Amino acid sequence: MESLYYQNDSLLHRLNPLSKIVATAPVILFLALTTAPWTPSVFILFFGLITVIWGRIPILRYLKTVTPLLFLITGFLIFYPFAVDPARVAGTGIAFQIGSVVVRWGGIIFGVATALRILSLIFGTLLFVLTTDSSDFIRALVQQWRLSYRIGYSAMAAYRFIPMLHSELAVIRAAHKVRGISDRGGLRAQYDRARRYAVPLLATAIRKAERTALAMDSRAFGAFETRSYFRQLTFARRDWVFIGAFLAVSLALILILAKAGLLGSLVVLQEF
Amino acid sequence: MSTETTTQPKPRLKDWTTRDLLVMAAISIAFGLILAGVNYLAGLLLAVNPMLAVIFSGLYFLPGLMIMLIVRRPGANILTRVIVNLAQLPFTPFGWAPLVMEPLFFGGAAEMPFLITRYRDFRLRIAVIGGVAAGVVSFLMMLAFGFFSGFSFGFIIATLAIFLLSGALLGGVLATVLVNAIAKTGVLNSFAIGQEQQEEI
Repeated sequence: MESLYYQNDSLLHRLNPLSKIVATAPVILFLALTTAPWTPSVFILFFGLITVIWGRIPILRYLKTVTPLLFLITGFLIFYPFAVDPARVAGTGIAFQIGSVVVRWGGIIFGVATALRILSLIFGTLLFVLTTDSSDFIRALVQQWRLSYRIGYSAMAAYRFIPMLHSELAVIRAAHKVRGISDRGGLRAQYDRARRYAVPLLATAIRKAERTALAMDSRAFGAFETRSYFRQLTFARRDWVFIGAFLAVSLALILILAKAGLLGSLVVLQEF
Repeated sequence: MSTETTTQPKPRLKDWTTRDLLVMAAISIAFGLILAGVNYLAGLLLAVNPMLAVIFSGLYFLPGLMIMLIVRRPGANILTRVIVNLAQLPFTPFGWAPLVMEPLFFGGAAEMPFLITRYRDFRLRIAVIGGVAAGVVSFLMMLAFGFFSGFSFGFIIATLAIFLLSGALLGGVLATVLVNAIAKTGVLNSFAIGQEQQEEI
């Protein structure tokens, strides 16, 4: 599996990973609660522009990441108008009719709104994912947010296991093949293969993990409360400026939408 | 646990050896990669029908329950969720978002039956209850975020049923089956679970 991170040296790349979370998290949470289609649309554009311009992500690369997501949400557009509770959209006009199934405009708007809502959340997190090296994020969690470095380094060790898992899988596959187990077939064979591969793969992974743990222990990993770091991350003034500016612009966008009457009701208020 | 005390075992990181942490990391990355793929599949199914997307929910609780059965330490479910989410960070467009709530809600729910039995009972039934509890909490979270707004009552109940079934089977039962199978290979001999599985010769 390929990493989504795009290595570059841009404004967003140079920010502390945590500041990108602090800035986007409140906006994403707010978007998760919106119901009207306008708010997510505006923020999809907002997130997209910031990521591409300030993250200096090539537009093709951005589209390549986003396209499968667009494919995912078309389902909402197709299915939700049929699935929506008839009582909820009873007042709206009929869009079209297939036999006894009536699709109303309210249902279509509901599908569009749900799709856009989910897409806006993903565009929000993509701003972080595309511009942040995961190891740097873990370093920041350890250094700025006081995550135990034993947990942080365990997660970083996990990244190092990925190539090992790939090569082990190849070894297991070859071993099964040389013993005459077919490597082809449909869904059923896929399931059988997953079952055959799971235990040996996990067993080797555990064995490798134990050896790594021994190596780390022998270098006194975890012996002290604090430790020194090869890469020291800081929370600089530009991080505060970014957080402030991002939240201010987001708030302005929301206020403009509210003023124009396009904000719609929030989901929490609707449910309870 | 090394010391036998009458007080409730507290989830202390100090009790975790480097070996525990690294075994957790290895299992977490393996399932992190699988779950990053399942995320896309579940997203597609969520679009077609939210009821279908829920079928795989138990897989999300699986690594936590497995680590709990292997290392048998308080907090295993929560910590594993943290590591799984950190490990799959570069591979999922959702990024850090699941990291905020999943460990606490899914992990915390799966942790409950083990906490209630004071981390002394690691049989199948406790793991199944853990998977079911995590399923209930995920269902409530989907409800709170309005994923079911606009759907009929029968649909919502059916989704809950799938949550429970998936949590029990793909979560609790599969965790127990996998851990027992791995223990039979001998790689877990230094853990309590491996000691139990060893046959006298």
